[in-house]
Amino acid sequence: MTTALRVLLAISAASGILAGASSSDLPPVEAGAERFAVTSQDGDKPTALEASMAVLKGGQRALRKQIADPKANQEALIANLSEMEAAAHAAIMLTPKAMASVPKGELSARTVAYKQKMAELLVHILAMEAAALTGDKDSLDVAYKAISETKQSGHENFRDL
Amino acid sequence: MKRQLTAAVLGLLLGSAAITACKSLGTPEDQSEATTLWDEMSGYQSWGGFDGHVGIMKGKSPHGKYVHTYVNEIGMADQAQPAYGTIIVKENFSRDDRDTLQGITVMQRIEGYDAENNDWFWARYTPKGELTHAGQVAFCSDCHFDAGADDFVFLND
Repeated sequence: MTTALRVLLAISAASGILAGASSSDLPPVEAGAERFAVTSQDGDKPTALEASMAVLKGGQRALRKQIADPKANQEALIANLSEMEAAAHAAIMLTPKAMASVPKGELSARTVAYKQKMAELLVHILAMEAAALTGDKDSLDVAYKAISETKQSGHENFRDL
Repeated sequence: MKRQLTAAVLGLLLGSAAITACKSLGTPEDQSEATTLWDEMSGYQSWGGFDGHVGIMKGKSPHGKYVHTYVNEIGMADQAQPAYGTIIVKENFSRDDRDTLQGITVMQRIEGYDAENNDWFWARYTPKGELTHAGQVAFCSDCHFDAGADDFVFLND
């Protein structure tokens, strides 16, 4: 675990995120969600987590284009990353539906593991935001790759189907 | 450590089981396309495989612990840039052994089908050919989006 992640987790825990604070305390993601098609996997009304994930999905797809020329796209890039940050932050608070099938004895560990994965994603988004401020393409590419890898492993382990 | 390992294993099991449990059949046109695709795949076991991906290989969730991937002639013609008409068939084997086929996942590149996802059509069938997923399956494209060269294909990365 990186130092940055340890710091973030410590801050998050202290602020109640990992302890289960109310999602109403978090930045709204609706503004970002409106721009993306939010659909529910099971045909029901999209959950708050699905809305957050839609923002992250649309944001990641936009990122790939934006970082091709980060200086020319700086304003849009930073705005996109801000929305993704809010969405990731909100998602830390939420619980995937798949958790419903997790045995009670494992639920706590699984929930923490999910929240840690989302916190890890948030760290990478923040790293991208920092790099975007200077248009540092190499750092943006590294952080983008980390976001993709975190998404892959997160979906592999926690995605609602 | 033991708890983390248990959680990881449980997660993998959930991911693997879920792809078989949830159907996403798309539009009637998608289902029709998938039926046609099943016919086009006939005899796929004689197709080739991308470099380094021939025969049964270790797989990754949600495809199963072992996979065997086949690519039709059109796809084999240019592995770096699979052309329209490419069909990639992946046999998904059991988590426990490489003999028990659990499902067949397929991607077919159709011109004009879905530009946002490099025009890939996705399908999944049971070993008996029953369709469980078809069309613009977000579960597939969301993951394959991360493949290199923006082509949604991991095999040629």
